[in-house]
Order: sequence, then structure tokens, then C-alpha cells
Amino acid sequence: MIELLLHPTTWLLFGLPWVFFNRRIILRFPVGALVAVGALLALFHGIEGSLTTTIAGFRLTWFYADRLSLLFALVFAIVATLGFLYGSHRMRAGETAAALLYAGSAIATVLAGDWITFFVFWEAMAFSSLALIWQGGTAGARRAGMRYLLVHATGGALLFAGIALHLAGGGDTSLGALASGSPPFWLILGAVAINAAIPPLHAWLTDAYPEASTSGSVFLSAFTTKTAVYALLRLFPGTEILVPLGAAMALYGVVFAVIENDIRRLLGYHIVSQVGYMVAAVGIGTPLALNGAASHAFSHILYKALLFMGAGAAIEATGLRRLSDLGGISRQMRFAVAMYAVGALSISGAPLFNGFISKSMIVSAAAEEHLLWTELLLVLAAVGTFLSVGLKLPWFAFFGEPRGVAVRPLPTNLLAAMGIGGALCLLYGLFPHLLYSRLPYLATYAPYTLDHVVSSAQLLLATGFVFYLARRKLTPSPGQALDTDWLYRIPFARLVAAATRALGAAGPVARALRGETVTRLDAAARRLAAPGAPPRRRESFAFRASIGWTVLFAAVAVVVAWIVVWLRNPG
Amino acid sequence: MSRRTAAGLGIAVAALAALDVLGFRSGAEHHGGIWNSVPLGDLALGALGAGVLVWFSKRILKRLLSRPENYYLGGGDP
Repeated sequence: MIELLLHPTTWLLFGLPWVFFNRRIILRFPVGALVAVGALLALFHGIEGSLTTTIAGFRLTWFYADRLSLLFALVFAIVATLGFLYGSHRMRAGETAAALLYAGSAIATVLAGDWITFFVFWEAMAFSSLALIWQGGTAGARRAGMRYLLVHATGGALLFAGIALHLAGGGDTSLGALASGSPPFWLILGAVAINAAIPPLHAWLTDAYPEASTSGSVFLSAFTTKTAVYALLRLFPGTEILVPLGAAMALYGVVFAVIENDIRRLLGYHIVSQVGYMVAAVGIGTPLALNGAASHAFSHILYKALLFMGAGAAIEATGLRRLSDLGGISRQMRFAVAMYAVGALSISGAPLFNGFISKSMIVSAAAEEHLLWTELLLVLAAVGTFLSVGLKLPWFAFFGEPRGVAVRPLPTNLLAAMGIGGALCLLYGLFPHLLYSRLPYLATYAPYTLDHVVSSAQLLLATGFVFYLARRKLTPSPGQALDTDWLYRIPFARLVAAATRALGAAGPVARALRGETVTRLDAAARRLAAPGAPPRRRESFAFRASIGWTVLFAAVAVVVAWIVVWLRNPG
Repeated sequence: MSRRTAAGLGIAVAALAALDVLGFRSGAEHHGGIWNSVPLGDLALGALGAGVLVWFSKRILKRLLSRPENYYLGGGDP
């Protein structure tokens, strides 16, 4: 029993009763608890090993610590600590609880040593992140959360089916690389691809993340996609299909970010883009590339959290979230803008910042394998990243033409979290060995060579020059760009609504398909997000029916997978 | 562009060109595309890439995909 205390998730869960039964200090306790978790993980770093328990005949490895899992667990604990510090002036009990569960599930997923533990915490992560999105408390957050549920229910069903087939086929219960090309391989890869937001399966991210609260977005930016990167590193290293997918993904996010008007959606597209680097690196599969994926995940979590904190600071100070409404506010929030700039230079791969020491490793790994097109696409994505996150967003949100926006002062805890995040980005950028010494694979890399630095400086300078010339063309305007979520928001919704009407039957299944279960779930979401709020109008028939069908599909997939397992191993 | 900005840009490009040549002379190992093999190749690639991204995003993508803010509110949006 005492061994449970070794698991960092246990410490996070300790925070839950305090959140609900001791509301006056809820804002302080989780921060303290998470600092303890971070310290614990730092202490345990380097101590590799595993802890197991047997439940119902299954040997569960609920704590598996090697260099890869500890690297992810460490940065998850760091960013969770920063997230609670950032939001401690405004996070309510429900949001704090959801964030504790989300961070705890993510850490437990990367520390899972067997398929069953992995699946349980992977799903716990999905549902706790859904609760965190709903805590945004707006109608937009509620509806985006339902779409998030639709996508992740499908992903969960794929993962369950894949694991069930793997185990039924006599596969090892320990988490490890799968036989390439087998049905479990493709099912599990599909599930992980959804969480990694690989296009066209990415739209849930740019749809839902901007709808959470400002502090909720900081947590969301860190865990789900990076846990998927961890899963790719653990299960699919060297899978060649990931190379073109990742390179295309890096550029896809960038081109949408260039035209995006919502500041957090713009940053969401850059999660897609940056995870593309990691996906491509996993596909390349050399030790240098895999170290590049792991180190870029570490760097990305820190600078992306900082960028979302910067965007959240602008939203908290002004109440506005669109570039077309903002402008000329930098003088009233100098420190937050300076810290945002640190994050922007980090994501752009500028020398001295942490993105440089990890992104250049992936590009170098592609070059060493003579993957010319991959290298070219990754370099172009870096150009687009600086163009949109490093220049367009700060120019139009913070500088640019003043629009007479009233700016409220920002709380100290928010600025402190940004300061620590910025300091960490600089620390790892200036002293790369602090990160390199923790990397899991045997490969050496020197980021600060003359050609790396000069090459990066040239790219940044050229991009800055083009932005200077084309800045009027980049002026944001109100509106939104259609993405692949259009497929399930319009035609799929109408199709399932028509199919449901055609069935026209009574009974529990028909009621579920008509979305009555969904309506109840939706009402629960409303109560969670805004306790005491009056009930609102019922959602459209197509809305409820499409969610109902997706849940049915997920349930059927789980039942079919279970039957296959039972048929293969009836005993 | 003001004369001061143009002068600053010129100095930066000249400094990068000098460092680039120095990098080649130092015998650093270069992999990958042609932009890694010629002095100021990354500068050219960066300018070309940024220009193409702006053109493609604003002229093609935005015209094809841009919709009003309330586009989804009227339909059966799940």
C-alpha cells in the first residue's frame, strides 16, 4: 500500500477531497501538492524500475519508470504546477478537480507498463479533459465539448478494440512496440493518431481548446497530444507512414494559423504543426530522431503553455479573443508581452531558446537520413511558425493600431507563472545538456554549431522581412475558416438525423439514437459548467442524433472486440 | 521602408553572409537540400517560403474556406 505513495498521480488525487470539502483553501493546496509532485519526480528521476499488482488474474504494471516515461512525467508535473499557479486566482472547485484528474491521468498514462493500465488512464484523461472543456462555462464550450466527446469516444473504441485483439492473439500484456501491419497495429495507431491530432483527425483540438477557460487551455495544451507522442515513441518507432504524415501536419497547422483570427485557435493550429515535427521524427526512427521527438515534446509543453498563458493574459485583461478586436495593448501589460515573446521565439526555433535545441535535432535527423522533402517541409513550417506566432499574433494583438481597448491589471500569480515558464524556456535553451542528459536514446547532438545558428538566423530574418512587406495583407478579419470538422458538423449530422428518423422505432435503443441520453448528458454538462443556471433550449435533432450514433458505434466496437477475444479464448 | 531600417537590414544580411561563408570554411558537415550548400541559401528559402505561405494562405485558402462567424449556428451542428 505504501508503494502507492511513489506514484505521482496519488499525490494529485490527494487534492480532490480538499477541492470539494475545503473550498476556502482550494486555490492554494493544489499548487502546493503539485510542487511536491514535481519535486518527487525530480528526486525519482534516474531511478528506473516498476511496481506491479495482480487484479482479477491480470498482472498490472501501474508504475513503469524508464528514461522515456520519466521525461514525460517530469514535464507534465512541471506544467501542471505552472497551470495551477497561473489559474489560482480564478479556478473554481470543478475546474480544479478536472485539472487535477487530467494531469494525474496523463502522468499515470505515461507511467503505465501494461495495456490495461494504459487504456484505463488514457480514457480517464479523455473524460477529465472533457470536463475541463465544459468548465469554460459558455454555450460554445458545451457544444465543443460534445463534439470532443464524439471524436474521443471513437478513439477510445479503436484503442479498446486494438488492445483486445492484441491480447486475444496472444500478445504480451506489457506495453511495447506492435507487429507492423497487424489489425491491432492499425487500430491502436488510429486511436493514437486521433489524440495526436494528425490531420484529418485533428479538428477536435482547434475546435475545443479555445473554448475552455484561459487556465483550462494551458492544461489542455500540454497533455493529450503529448501523451499521444509518448505512445507513438513507445509503440510505433520507425513506422514509415508517420514521416510524410508528420511533415504534412507541420505545414497544415501553419497555413491555417496564417489566416486564423481567434488567438487561441491560432495557437491550437500550432500544436498541430509542432506535434507534426514529433510525429515525423518518430517515423524516421533513428536514435537522433527519437531523441528529437522526446526533447521537442518536452520543449513544446513548456513554450506552448507559456504561449497559451500569454493569450489568456490578453483575454483576461481585455475580455477579447480575436485579433481583429485587439491591438495597441502592449504598454499596459509589458511583462506578459515580454514572456509571450520568449514563448514565440522558443516555438520559432530561435537560438538561445528551448525550441532551438529540440527542433533543430529533428530537422538534422531528417537531413542525415537524406529525407529532402521532409526537411524542406519542416523548414517551411518553421518559417510559417515565426510568421504567425512570432510576428502576426503579437503585432496585431499587442502592438499595431490601438483600438481603444480597456486593459485590466493582471494578477500577480498569473504573471509569476509566466515568468517561471519563460525562465524555463531560456534555461533549457541556454543549457541544453540539462535536457539532453535526460533523453532516452543513445545519440549525440550539438545544437550550437555555427551553421545551425546562422541557418536559423537567416530563416528568421527573411521571414521578418517578408512580414514587414506583407503585414497589411495579413491584417485579420472577422470570420472563421472551415476545417475537417465541417464533415461531422454538417453532412454527417444531417445523414444520421435522416437515418434516425427513417428508423422511427420506439424503445431504449431508438431513444438513445434520438439523442435523449445525450440530452441528459448535455444537461449534466450545463450543471457542471454553470451550477444554478436555468435550463436552455434543447439542442437540434441532428446534434443529439449524431452524438447518439457515435456512442452506439463505440459501444458496438467494444462489444465486437470483446466477443472476438472471447471466441479466441473461451476459457 | 525607412533608410534606417534598410541600413539595419543590409548590415544584418552582410553579417549573416560573412558568418555563412565562415561556416563553410570551417568545414562544418552539411546534409540535406541545396539551401544548405550555398551561402545565404537559408535566407533565400526563408523569404521564398514566407512569401508563398502568405500568398497561399490569404489568396487561396482564405477565399476557399472563409465563412461568417455564425456559420455553424444555423445548422444541425453537433
